[in-house]
Amino acid sequence: MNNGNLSMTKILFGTESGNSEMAADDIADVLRAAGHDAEIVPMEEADGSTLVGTGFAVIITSTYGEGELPETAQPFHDMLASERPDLSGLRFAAFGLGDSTYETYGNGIDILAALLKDLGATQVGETGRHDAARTEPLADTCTSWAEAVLPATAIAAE
Amino acid sequence: MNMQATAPKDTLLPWRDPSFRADPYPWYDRLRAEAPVYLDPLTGGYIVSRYRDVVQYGKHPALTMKAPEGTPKGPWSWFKDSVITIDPPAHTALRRKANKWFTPKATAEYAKQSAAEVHRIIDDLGPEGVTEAYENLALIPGHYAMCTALGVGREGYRTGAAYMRDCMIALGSDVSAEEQERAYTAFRFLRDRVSHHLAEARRNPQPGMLASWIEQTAAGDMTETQLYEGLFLFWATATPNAAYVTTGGLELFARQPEYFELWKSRPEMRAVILAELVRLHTAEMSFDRFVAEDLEIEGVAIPKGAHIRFLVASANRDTEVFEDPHAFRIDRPEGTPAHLSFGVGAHICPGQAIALAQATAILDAVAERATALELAGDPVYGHDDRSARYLRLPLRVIR
Repeated sequence: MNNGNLSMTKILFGTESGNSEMAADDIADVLRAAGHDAEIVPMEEADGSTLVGTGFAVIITSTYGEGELPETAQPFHDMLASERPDLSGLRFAAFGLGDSTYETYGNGIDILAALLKDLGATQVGETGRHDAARTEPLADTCTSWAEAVLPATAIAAE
Repeated sequence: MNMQATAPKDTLLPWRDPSFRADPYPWYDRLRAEAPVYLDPLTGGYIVSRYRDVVQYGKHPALTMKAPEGTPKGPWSWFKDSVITIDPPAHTALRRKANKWFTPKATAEYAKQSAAEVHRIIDDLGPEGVTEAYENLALIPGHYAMCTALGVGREGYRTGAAYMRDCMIALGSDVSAEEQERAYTAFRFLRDRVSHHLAEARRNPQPGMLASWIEQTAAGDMTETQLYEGLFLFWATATPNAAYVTTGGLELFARQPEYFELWKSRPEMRAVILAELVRLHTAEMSFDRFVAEDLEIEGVAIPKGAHIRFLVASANRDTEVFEDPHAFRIDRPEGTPAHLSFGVGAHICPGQAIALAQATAILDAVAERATALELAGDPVYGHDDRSARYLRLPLRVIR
């Protein structure tokens, strides 16, 4: 498998009420079960340097209000947008939490993913989405997405 | 459809009728079919009862929490500056003061206190294993998780929850003068307890949200009113709603043991079981808004200044969305819309994570200790026209 060649994936989450943190934990479990190392970083503790020099990251955020970023993702976004670090060495996967009864369903993750790509990063896999307006539990949705998308892409990065 | 011509004696919602209060769902079924946006002749307000309308309009920007000038004052009118009286963006800033204390991860930690109390109660059972499960296994264990979140002492809540019931009745549609008076009395006790907890926390701060809020108030980031009213909402109002769901789970496990077995044997099913419990046990059956700009719902024009009551409990049993809506089912098709028991939009319940954490921890602890549950008598419910609740759930815990 990955003996002696563990990759370190950073999982960044932005949140309003803590659900993205749960998704981060579940996604980290999937990566660790596949033999990868994963470090969870709350976006309020992250800045441009968190991503520069990182090979692979998972970005998770909810959407707040009428399509805005949640409390802890907005400052992170604004810092990246103003500092504009070179993220051409970064590959990332994206997972969003939202509510499809809003026209702005999933805006938050789209805003962040677009910014990372604008800074040179490459997105891998489809953006995962959990819809709070449906009954599927978040843990099921994010775990299925992570199992389908992450191990292959993270391994490919090594 | 405009029902303005309907005479009071023909009302589709007999708010005070004991059979309506005990089980309003047959009335809700008729309401959704005949008058989904109903001008209630008894209250003069509009009633919205379909799932799709509650979802879409319950969070409409033309609605406000602020009562227009001239709205009669009631027992709840003392709230001036809290999440239940203000709209975004001020609402967002205030709500964020609580968010980090009530995340799913944080509340799972607090709920260990709930589990510990359940174990203590089960250790203390008599040879027949009989307990009153609403207070002993749901309400008080749940309260201990809330006390941990806030950093306040545990005392005074059996009386507090009983008085909270008197307060909740006053949020109904058709409140008698006697019910109003009881609510004023209840608030006198509850406000005094909140003052007590605040004074204690100032004297001897404990880890938790309250000490943090006291610091933020001292720093000028919150007002005394926001501190006091916010503490009141979390300490007094939240836990009975969660306890209604938890007790509903215990009753389900007693009546349909296959779900108790499923809870024990399939941990991955617990979130689905819990969501269906929350749908069927809608503790706060409706929420209110005022119309800040003219609005039209289902072809009914609703003027500025009008009052709308959104019937969440009706939406949660809407046959357009939930097949066989009165049944507990965990095999609903993929993509079935979620229940609305925690409300919709910016004012969605800030305590939903702790409610789910309490219910999960308590049901887990019971499942760990009990081989089976049996009813030891008939449950006693205490629903009014807005809130649903248990008063008693006699339960035999078989070990």
